[in-house]
Amino acid sequence: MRSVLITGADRGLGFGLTEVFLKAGWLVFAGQYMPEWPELDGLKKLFPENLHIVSLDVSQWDSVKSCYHVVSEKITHLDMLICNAGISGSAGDIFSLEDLDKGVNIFNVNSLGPLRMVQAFLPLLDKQDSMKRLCFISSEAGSISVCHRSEGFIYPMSKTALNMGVKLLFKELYPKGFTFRLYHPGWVRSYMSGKKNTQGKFEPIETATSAFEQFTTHNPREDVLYLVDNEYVTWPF
Amino acid sequence: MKTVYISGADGSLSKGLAEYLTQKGYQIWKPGHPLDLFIYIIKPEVSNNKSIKEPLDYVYLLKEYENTALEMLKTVSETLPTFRDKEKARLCFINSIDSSINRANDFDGGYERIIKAACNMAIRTMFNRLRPMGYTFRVYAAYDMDDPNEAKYAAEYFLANRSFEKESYEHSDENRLVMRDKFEQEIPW
Repeated sequence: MRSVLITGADRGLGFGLTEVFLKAGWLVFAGQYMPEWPELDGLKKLFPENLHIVSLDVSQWDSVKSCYHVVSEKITHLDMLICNAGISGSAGDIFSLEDLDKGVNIFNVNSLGPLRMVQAFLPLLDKQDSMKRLCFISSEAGSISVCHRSEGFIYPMSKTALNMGVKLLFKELYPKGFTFRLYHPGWVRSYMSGKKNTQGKFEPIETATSAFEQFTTHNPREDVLYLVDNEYVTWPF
Repeated sequence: MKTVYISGADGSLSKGLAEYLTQKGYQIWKPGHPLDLFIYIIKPEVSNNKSIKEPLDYVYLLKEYENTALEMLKTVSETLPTFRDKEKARLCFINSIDSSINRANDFDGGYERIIKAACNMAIRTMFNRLRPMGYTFRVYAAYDMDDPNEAKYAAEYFLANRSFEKESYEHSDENRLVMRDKFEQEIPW
């Protein structure tokens, strides 16, 4: 049975991914940041054997290490890591910046969180029987080339930083047998800002389904790192 | 007399820029005076964070992000009201060439490069906001952030005008934000 760890699995895209992987028969470790949020517990009742809910805050190294210890007691290798946990926020207009301090937290979660996860879980991923697949939820907002925003700053900056981080990981780990997916989920009706976005283009389950297809199937050009969206469109960096 | 404000990282680049621009007739800006040229040097401290298999210093990366990327935004925001004439105001940035995501494989360097890349996004967002108001932008990619010779190349690039025709967007290089190195090559983001 294949195994996957998904960060930020409480709701939105992370929950959708958890559901899709469970339905496909995978063993899923769901990183839980919000124990008060009920959806994962509901899913646990449907998949009591294959779903393991693990407490996880990707912004804290100690939490990431604790998560690693819990997972490593249950499996000998991990096939796939999906770094999904993310938060959004805005610093407003350049003439009147506001809440610039929020940028530190967003960078900590969105940009450094995935690095912590890869670093901590490498011992479980770098095993002969592992699929060795690293998946990252990025965004078109991180693309400098086609950036259309003229304010906000801190969320796009965090995703650009993530893209660079994944590129550096790719440079180091692809030669060691790891394969990568860098995924833009589209405009999802998710909870990135804290409450459900009702204006998005896709329901989480829709983009989770596309992500599952892309994450689990072989790409004939694994030696190139692309930023690809839920409709298989490639975005420039 | 025109004025220049050089901010961001201190060091040989900053010193070289000040010397060169002073020779060209610029005066170093002082608070209360009108500003013509703004230069920010993006240089997070070099780290030993070069391999994901070695312990990364996340506290350091967070601090450098705050001191470099967020500080750059804050400095620009505070500086904008001081420009003498926004139609002639120019914002210039020096980043390391290894800030390019597309060319990440071509250069060495540690995980502080994620901070440099984030700065490029911040500049692009500022460009989208300010260019329609008249401000012009330059981003210079340095091969060596400690080489004073890079300061001369950067300064010449900052002072030179690009093609601009109000009638033709396609004919106006001034309406694109690009990063160029000392050979005037465009470095992909």
